[in-house]
Amino acid sequence: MTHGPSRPRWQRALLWAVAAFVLAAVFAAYLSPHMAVDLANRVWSCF
Amino acid sequence: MNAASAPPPATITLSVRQVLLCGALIVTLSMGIRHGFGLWLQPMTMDRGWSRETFAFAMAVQNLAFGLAGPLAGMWADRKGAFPVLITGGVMYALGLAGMALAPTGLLFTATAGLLIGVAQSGCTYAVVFGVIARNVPADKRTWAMAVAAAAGSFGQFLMVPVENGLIGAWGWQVALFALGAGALAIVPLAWGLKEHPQGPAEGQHQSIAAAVREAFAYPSFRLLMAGYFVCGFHLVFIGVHMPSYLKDNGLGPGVATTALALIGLFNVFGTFGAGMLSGRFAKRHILAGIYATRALAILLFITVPLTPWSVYIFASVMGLLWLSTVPMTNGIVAQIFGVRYMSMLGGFVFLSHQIGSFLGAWLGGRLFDMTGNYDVMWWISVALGVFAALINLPVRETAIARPTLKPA
Repeated sequence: MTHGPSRPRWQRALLWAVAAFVLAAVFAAYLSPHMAVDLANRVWSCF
Repeated sequence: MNAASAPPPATITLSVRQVLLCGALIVTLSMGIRHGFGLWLQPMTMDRGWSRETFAFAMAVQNLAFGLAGPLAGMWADRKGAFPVLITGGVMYALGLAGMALAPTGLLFTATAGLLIGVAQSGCTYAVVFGVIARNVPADKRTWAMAVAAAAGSFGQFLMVPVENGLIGAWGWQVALFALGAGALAIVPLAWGLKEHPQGPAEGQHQSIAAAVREAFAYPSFRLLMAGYFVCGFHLVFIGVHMPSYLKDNGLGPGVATTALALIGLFNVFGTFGAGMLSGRFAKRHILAGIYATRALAILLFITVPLTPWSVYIFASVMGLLWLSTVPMTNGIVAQIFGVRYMSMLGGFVFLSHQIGSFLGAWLGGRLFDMTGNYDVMWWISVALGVFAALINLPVRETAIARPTLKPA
């Protein structure tokens, strides 16, 4: 098994920032008006 | 020294980074694609002229096939390595999605969207990938690594709902399924990153599959873990399937359900990863007991306080944190007790229990609603099961099982 050297602090911070940005972007996609209406109609029509 | 606690140096061949990257991407795809299938209900039933029951039956078959094929896929992966199982799973997933797009009758739809995709999922999701992780990541990092892969699956679920919704909107439901099928084929090249090389005898090598199954089912802690995982499946599918109609019955708008869905997805990623971080500090059985107890408390508060959009959002966030955080904990304990030789198969058996709980959560929710006209009984059953699962996880023994060692004649 190979272990890479531990990442510098700035790289770890950058990775966390990228992850946070991606999660926020996906969350925002759920809440965009077009998506919210579209998704709600599809989900809601099941019941 | 007992066999399960022996280090498995003979099987470690892949870098942790490679295993995590490929494993996480495979689970992101396989779990993500399946998460949005409900979005096809409306357009498919309208276009094909099917009843909702036709669609729902195929999805129920898919969930059962996923659970039932899990131990078999795990056995295959434990004997021959994850690589051929992942390749087969990826190809079957793609074929199943194409079949789902083309199926002209309900029977063929059940055969493809239900049976074929369900079996495919068993070959390219947690149990098989966790086996590779368990064999290639040191024991002290194993649960954390499983949590990273599980968090990727959570992210896949979170990501793919808007993606699939967008695909249906842009290209129509049929082309969207073909596009997803092409996406599922990406599992095939990623499987190369999890290809283990044949090694010499490792821990538990001389134990047969039948002996491993007998040993696990005779071990009380394994049965307790299965019972706890049953409750996990029950909770998730009851809430996932029935909460939108519960909100609708109580006069909340569809936007609340959509936001709740987004919050569960978002916090699920944090919860699954966070549970892995906690596993280095606390006993896993205590984390599991805490997860189930918190679920019971969250459900209790949710049904006793006045229902408002904000009570839904808070409940969805808390449940999101607790959603799949049981996955790395449960599988981590299985590896800790029984070792990694039959990790995928035993993980498959535990997951079968989860899927039986899932089936009951969906079915019983509908049945009790039809009988009583509301979900009250179901919510209280969920609270009781949460308390039950918390209590039964406390006596779980996390230490490696003691196996008699053969003495030379």
